[in-house]
Amino acid sequence: MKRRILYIALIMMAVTGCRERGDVYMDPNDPMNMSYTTYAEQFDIIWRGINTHYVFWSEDKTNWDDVYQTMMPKFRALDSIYVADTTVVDSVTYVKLYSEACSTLIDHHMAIMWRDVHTNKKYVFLPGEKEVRKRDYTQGQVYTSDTIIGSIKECITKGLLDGGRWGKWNKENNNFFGTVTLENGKKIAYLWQDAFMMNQVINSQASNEEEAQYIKNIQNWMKMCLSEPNLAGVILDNRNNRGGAVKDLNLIVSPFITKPIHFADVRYKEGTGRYEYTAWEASIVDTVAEAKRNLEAEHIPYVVLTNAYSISMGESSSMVIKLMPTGHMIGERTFGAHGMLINQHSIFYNGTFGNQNDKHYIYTANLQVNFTDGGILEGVGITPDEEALQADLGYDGVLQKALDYIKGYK
Amino acid sequence: MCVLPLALIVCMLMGLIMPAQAQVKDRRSEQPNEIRSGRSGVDFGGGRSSYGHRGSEYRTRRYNDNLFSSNEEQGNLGIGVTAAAAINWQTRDAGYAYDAHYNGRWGAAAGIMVTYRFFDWMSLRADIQYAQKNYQMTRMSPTMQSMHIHTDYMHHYIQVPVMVDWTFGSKVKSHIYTGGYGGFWLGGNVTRISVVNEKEQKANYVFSPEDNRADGGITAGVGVTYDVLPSLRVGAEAMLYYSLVNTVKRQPVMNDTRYNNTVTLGVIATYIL
Repeated sequence: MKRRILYIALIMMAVTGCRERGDVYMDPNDPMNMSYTTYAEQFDIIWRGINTHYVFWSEDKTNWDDVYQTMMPKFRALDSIYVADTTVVDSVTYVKLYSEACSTLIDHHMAIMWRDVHTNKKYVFLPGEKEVRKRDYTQGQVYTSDTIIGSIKECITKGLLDGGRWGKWNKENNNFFGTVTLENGKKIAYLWQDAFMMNQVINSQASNEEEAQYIKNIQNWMKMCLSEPNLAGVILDNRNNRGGAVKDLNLIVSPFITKPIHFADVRYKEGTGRYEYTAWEASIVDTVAEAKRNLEAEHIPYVVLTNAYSISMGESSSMVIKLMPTGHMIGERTFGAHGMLINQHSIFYNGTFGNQNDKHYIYTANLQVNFTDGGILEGVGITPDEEALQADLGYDGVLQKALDYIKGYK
Repeated sequence: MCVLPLALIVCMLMGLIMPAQAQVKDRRSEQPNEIRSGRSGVDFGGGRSSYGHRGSEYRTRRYNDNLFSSNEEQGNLGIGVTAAAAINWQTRDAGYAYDAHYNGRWGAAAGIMVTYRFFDWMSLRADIQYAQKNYQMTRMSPTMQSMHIHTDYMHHYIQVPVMVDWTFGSKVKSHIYTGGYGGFWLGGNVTRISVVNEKEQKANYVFSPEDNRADGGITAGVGVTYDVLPSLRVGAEAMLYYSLVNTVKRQPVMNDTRYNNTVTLGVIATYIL
């Protein structure tokens, strides 16, 4: 009997040896990861970081394992070339390898920054921008804020806008508040801004006149939207808006709705696995108790303008306005960077990693966004209700479409 | 990787059964008509009656007519039902999720079983069982100490354990079960507290392309049963289901391993045909 019990115990011990041991997950933010000295080691560290910290694996068609197996020999070859002759490795080859590895990733927030392991020269690759430039309606152009500012001035010259005020915040963020008076005397409130930082600035102290005007532009636009008795319509111009605080929805949407808008669900990682997602959590824009105006009851249209460089909150806010009872979206399909970024590595097991001042830094979204209208549109962008391409109509032509829509709103 | 351990298992199983059969043969040749006292059998020796002296008249028949069965008052085939509480925990590496702790969590299991007695001391048993393999992830981040963040996973499995039931005793029997099981991951539910808004939410578990829904492993357990009637046996048992199948499919570069360990504590009722 003892012999048999011994046999049983030995069997159990033998069988337990059949469990495979997994690979050890490194922390992509561990400073030790910066100690590499070869191109292959650098790629390995970046690959592993993206492998666990990227939030779109459920949607992304990129076979990341194949990328490793295909690219790693190429980076090793680059190391061999460098060993043979340190002058031979050129930056074009080096950048091309990262471009080849990461160009199909759909996270349009993504920025891959790395430094040459030998020369410390900095490189940045933006998979999203590369994709947007390829779209037929952008015709390879990158729209800039300066282009938009020039175009708005042109609209004033052409009489599309009555005029308005320019504001500047922190020397790099611009906004413009203007009005349009229709033939019947009714007015339209127009606001353009290249970033969403409305809550931040209205709760801050302006340090110069431009900044004071930046705050006034937001306040005046809100005041006009909420209390102008002859309001014919509202225009929020999100063209070239590169995003910002989601919280600003409490200023641009909440005062104008009577029912909460469930515009999306979000999820993130709660483990180190590639697909270890949380359940979907609802993203809802709530109503506010005070300072509100029921645009639906007053039959006032709310138009949002977009272009291919409406990015992040510049897109998500457009989606919410599109879902408002009198909301309407006019313009181009947006950039496609909807995944939200929250700078809380201790809370999320995914998102941005590395160090901007060190050998690599990968900027990537924390949250996957699933819109109630359209689903997961990361890398695709939000399609407007009414398409109006800048390449065909010009900046003013798109604005004219918005004015026509408001004039003809029934 | 498993070839050597599996080969070892096969060899040991051969060793386990062959000597036992040899013992039966030996006893048949040495004492074919031995009449024994009614004390309960406590070793693996072949063919002691569970019903004392009454077994003596049957023993001769057993050796002559039926190689395997020893107790003619009870049939060889039994069918039964099981119900159990099941605690499961995962063997996994939390990796860089430093504040995440994976804890065991209780669930339930129930099934039907069939058993066939080859000897008094050995039966073969197979179950079809529904089992919950639950676990909980709790987070203790310094930034979230007051938030009590946790996620409860409830995973539903159907599994078929096939075990050798090594039996000791007569009316009150002790059992040692050894065997293996195959299973399938049917689905799951998640109850969690959000780290974003601290609200509780419930959702169905959504399978990923990397989830491995096949399951299997070894099982071992102990039990005690009592023959209430010649045809009805009731008892209690504790089983361990030690999975050898990773719940994550093998990945070519970065392999993630997560294995379930499930212990069931339950009751069993068997009808002897």
